[in-house]
Amino acid sequence: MGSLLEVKDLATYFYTDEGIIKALDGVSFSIDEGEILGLVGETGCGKSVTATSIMGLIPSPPGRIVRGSILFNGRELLSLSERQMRSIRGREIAMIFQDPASSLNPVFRVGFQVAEAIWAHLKTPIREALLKAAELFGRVNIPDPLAAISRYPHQLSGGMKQRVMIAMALSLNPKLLIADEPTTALDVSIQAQILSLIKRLQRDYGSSVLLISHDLGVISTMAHRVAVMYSGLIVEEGRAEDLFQKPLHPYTQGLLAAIPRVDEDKSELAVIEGTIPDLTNPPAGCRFHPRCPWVMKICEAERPPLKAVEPKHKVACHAYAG
Amino acid sequence: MPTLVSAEKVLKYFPIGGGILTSKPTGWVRAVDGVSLSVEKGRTLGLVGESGSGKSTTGLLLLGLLKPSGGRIFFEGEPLEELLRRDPRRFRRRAQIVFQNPFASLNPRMTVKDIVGRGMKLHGLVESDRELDERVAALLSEVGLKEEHLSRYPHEFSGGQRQRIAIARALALNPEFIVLDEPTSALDVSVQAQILNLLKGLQRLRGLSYLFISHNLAVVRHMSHEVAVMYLGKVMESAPKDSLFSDPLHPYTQALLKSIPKISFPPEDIEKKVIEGDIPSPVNPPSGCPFNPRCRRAVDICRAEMPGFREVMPGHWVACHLV
Repeated sequence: MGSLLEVKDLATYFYTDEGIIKALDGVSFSIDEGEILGLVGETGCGKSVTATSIMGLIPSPPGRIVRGSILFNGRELLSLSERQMRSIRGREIAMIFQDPASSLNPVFRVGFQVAEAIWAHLKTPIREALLKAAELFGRVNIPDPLAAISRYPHQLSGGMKQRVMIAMALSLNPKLLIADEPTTALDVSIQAQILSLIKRLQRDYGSSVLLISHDLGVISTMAHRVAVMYSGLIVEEGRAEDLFQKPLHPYTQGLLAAIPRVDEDKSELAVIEGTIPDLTNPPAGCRFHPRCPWVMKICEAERPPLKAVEPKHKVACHAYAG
Repeated sequence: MPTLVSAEKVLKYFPIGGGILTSKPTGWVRAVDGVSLSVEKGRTLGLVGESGSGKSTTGLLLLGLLKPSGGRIFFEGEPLEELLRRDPRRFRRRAQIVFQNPFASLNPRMTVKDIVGRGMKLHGLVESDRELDERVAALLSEVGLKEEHLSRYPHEFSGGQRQRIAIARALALNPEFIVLDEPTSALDVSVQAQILNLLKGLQRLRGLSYLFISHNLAVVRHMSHEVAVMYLGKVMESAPKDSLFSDPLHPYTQALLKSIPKISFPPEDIEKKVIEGDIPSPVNPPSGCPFNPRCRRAVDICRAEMPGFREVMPGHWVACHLV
């Protein structure tokens, strides 16, 4: 299987009064066809900026993609005009967001909002598009789809709204679905429903998924491959089984040790000392070095490259130099 | 273990509609609907449930910040109502709260010294400004902050540090009981671990009793000695932690535990772990057991009658007709 998406050395900066925020500073990864890539990290690490950069939705000003390349299906997205990008967005790359309540327009019926997306890209007559919306509602397990299309967002629960968003995202059969914390605003029992829906649809449609989450449990359950981000960079990347069974980067190890588990008792949680660095003035060398238990001289001076130290398992850490 | 706080069949109904002009409510939200539980001295009761299950309302009721619509609450064996009537200020000193969002719970115009020290001043526990400085500085160091933070404002701190300030404020009056309402839900995992460890340490040192409210079962497992599971205003199951997590009896608890995505290899099949259906509205809860529309094992009696809350093993209580 070939790569559907190839991101290389992507850097997105935000030029603010407080200084230049280097939200992404050289991010590289790829997603194969039919693959779910999990992107995991804490607040401010650049997960969402990665997604909006791919979608061409970085607000400018203050944001700007300063270097890098995003190859999608062989096309360089960064050189496309806004008009060309608009035909890709929604049709070939679709996105669902964390908060379905704010992604839907409160004054339009949900069926219409899905139908409008279909009409906008395919010029399908609106009646037909509405029927297509009802069919999609059925496919995402919204009960009584024909009645549901004429509901307003406030008449639906959070889980149902997220199903509407998924129906909209899938309406044009996109090759890539970007799901940015799709279940973070939902309850555990509803989260399981939405995750299983995404998984089933991904299988049925054969789409690729970029799944962004701060929840390692969600990532472990869903992703084939995982990339861990820290402070605007990917610090580790590998197959889910390798990464969770044998995490290499001290940050990944620290994260896994810091999470309380529902399936096991830990007497004390391990702590990653310190806080997430300021992106306007990130530490020199490895950005994790001020918090790293293994820190060496070289870590303060040189940024470690992301390279494979085991088959299909990459890490950006000087400790694996030799 | 002696009990510090207990609730007996506590109800809290909020009126819908009805205001200053139209006095008749059109319905009731049954936020808390017959909750019985107890918090033992020096221990943590974890209260877990999904949104709208009544966790936070229960917390506020136990602190006397909401008046129950029915049932009784006891604090060290005395009716809470009585304590509040006799000396509300004294009771405030004994029971405190830490909220979920440290960005909203701290006044942005007050310095850390004012936020943490205000209670001590109002309760006349300090004689001079110098003493206040010393006491607040001691509290700050207890929660892992520094004396130089005294004159800073909340916006100068990260989320984790703000939650430390909120904890220092809760400790300032030397309480026996603290309600922790989702204290780490707004924080990143690496910071969450720091705060959870801090809370555990403080409990050991000060002999505090906690009501730990969270939607996160893993965090509740880590923090609690006993756990109560709420659904739609009712406690469905409560038990010592080990018993609840290793041998959950209620179908809701079982399904909830299953539906949490876990870090495991091979990855779990999430499609097999789903609880169908939505959480019903507490305005119009299903008849009988509130979980019956989503329960795979539901039979006729579940739809007709709310099961009683029974002790089926020592300390392990469950509200289910089938157990």
